Amino acid sequence: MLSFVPKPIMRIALLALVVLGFLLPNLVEPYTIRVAATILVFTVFATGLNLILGFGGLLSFGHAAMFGAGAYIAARLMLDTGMSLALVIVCSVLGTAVFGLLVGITSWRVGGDYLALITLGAGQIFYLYLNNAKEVTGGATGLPGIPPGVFFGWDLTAIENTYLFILGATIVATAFAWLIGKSFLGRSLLAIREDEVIARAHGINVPLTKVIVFGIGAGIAGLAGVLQVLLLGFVGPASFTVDQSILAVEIVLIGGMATTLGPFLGSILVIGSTEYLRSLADYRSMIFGALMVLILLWKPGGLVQILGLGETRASKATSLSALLAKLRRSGTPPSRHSAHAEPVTEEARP
Amino acid sequence: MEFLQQVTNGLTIGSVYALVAIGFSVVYGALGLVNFAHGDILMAGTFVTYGVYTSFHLPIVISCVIGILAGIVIAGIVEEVAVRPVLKSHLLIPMMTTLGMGLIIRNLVELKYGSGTLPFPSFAGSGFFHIGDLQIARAAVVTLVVAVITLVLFAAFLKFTKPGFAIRVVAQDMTAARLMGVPVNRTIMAVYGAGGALGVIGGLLYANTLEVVYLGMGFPILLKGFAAAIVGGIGNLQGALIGGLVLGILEATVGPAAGSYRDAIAFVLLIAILLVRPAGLLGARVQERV
Repeated sequence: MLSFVPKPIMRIALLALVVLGFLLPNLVEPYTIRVAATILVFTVFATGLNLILGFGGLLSFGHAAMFGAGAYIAARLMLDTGMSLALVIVCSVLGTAVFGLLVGITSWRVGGDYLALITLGAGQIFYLYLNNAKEVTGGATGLPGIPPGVFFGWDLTAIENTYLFILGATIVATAFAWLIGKSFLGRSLLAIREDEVIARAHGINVPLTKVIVFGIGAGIAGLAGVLQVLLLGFVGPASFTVDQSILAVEIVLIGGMATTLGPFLGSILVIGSTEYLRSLADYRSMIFGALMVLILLWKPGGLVQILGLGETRASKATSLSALLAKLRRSGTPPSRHSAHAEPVTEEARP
Repeated sequence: MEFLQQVTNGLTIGSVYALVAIGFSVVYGALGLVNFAHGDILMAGTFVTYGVYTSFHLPIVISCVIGILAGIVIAGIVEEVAVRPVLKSHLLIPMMTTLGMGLIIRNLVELKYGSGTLPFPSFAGSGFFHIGDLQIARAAVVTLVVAVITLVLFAAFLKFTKPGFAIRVVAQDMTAARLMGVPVNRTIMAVYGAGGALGVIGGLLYANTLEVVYLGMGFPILLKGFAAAIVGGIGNLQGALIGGLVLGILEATVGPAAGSYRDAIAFVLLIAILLVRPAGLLGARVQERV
């Protein structure tokens, strides 16, 4: 849609967007700032998943557990110790990354679809743990009254400051993910996503790469967890259900898999519409479900592709020949019902 | 004796898991695809039974049949809309499109019935049978009997009928099946329909045992079904049956000791099996051909 705009102008527009982001607290009322901060938290959350799902093609349904691990580690540290915020962030991110590596190690022996089930199981076990280990996690009520952080003398009590801090963290996380995508690791992941066997034949250590990306993606989700704690001053198990994992998958898909801006655009649409279109709340999951299916069928690059922002590296959902075959089938209905007239152009999926 | 009682209870819930696992496995075995809408399909079918029974006052058996038919139709729609167009693309894509379809189905049911827990008309009646000291609920007996009959019928369908034969052929080699004149598209639809029907039967038995239906019932049963299917070797139908029973018995015997972590048994089992023996207890060694 916007692909006719020259690249330099797009870059200036992006810069203007970032500047606008920093000026936002002076322009709008606190409610909008809070919504914007939520959108950014979910951008970071989805950025972590985008590395795993978008680049690596590894379906993780336990990403909310990583988010939750980061949030609970941060909450415990801030409640029990007087650690500085910077140290809390380092501990949470590293702790979550280790957790992610442990989950990722399970991908050593099993492939994509099994991994979805393992992560689903791991997420459920984590959720049960959150609800039952009352002395550590506060059980179903969670941990309220977490003190606001102080980042190198910068007091984050005011929502404006929290927002600015989250904005900064989002930019860092997005830039980090962009660098990863450009790096050898990112290219290896894309190769693994497209064909594991060929990737292995080209000397890529497939299992190790998968485990590493799980760790990195989990670390970024852990950062999102810390930001969530800073924003809400509270953690509870309800924020880390499997529905949240599915929400993250939705954000990544709708925004655009394996793109830099995808998670941001996706969470603007998904989280923003949840906040502002409350009249549609009853139809929400239907709309996003349909959007997910449509995007996967026609525009695998998501919003980034639809808006024409930059290259998309999403796996091609519908190849041209399959599309033609589909059109041909719908054009001549009888051929669908007789086996013999069916064109033999389609190959079975290997 | 108490142990025997628990094993009996385990067999009952295990046979529900087995039905759901087989519905899921038949799709996986034929196409190599995980159907994430399976839980929502079985939930929707159970709700159709509930709706037909409460609003038209049909006999419960006929309501159940209508619910099962609805499950077949919904599964067919999911296949046509979300699976067939992306059958040849990356493994990930059909998984996520079925997930999206599941969200749509759940939302539609929620719009009609809300997210509360509704009383399900038990078709087994209450009361207990006594065998020695063993006490078996009527619902449990009905569950076991229906599950066994369904599984035998389904095995016969696969073994002796033409569509069943086509399913086995497609599972072995889709391209060869197409070349031999097997109507592959129709067969894939039959696979999904059969999966949907088995799922709804499982859902109905589950609802009958608990005497409730609720919006979220699909997901936990689906997870247990996944676990059962994997324990037995995913795509392996006998394996799914044994996996379901093993899971049910484990939950009933180990469950009380695990306390509030009872639901974690299935997932721990799932992860352990995948780590130690990815092909499942009964599965053959999987070798990837290039």
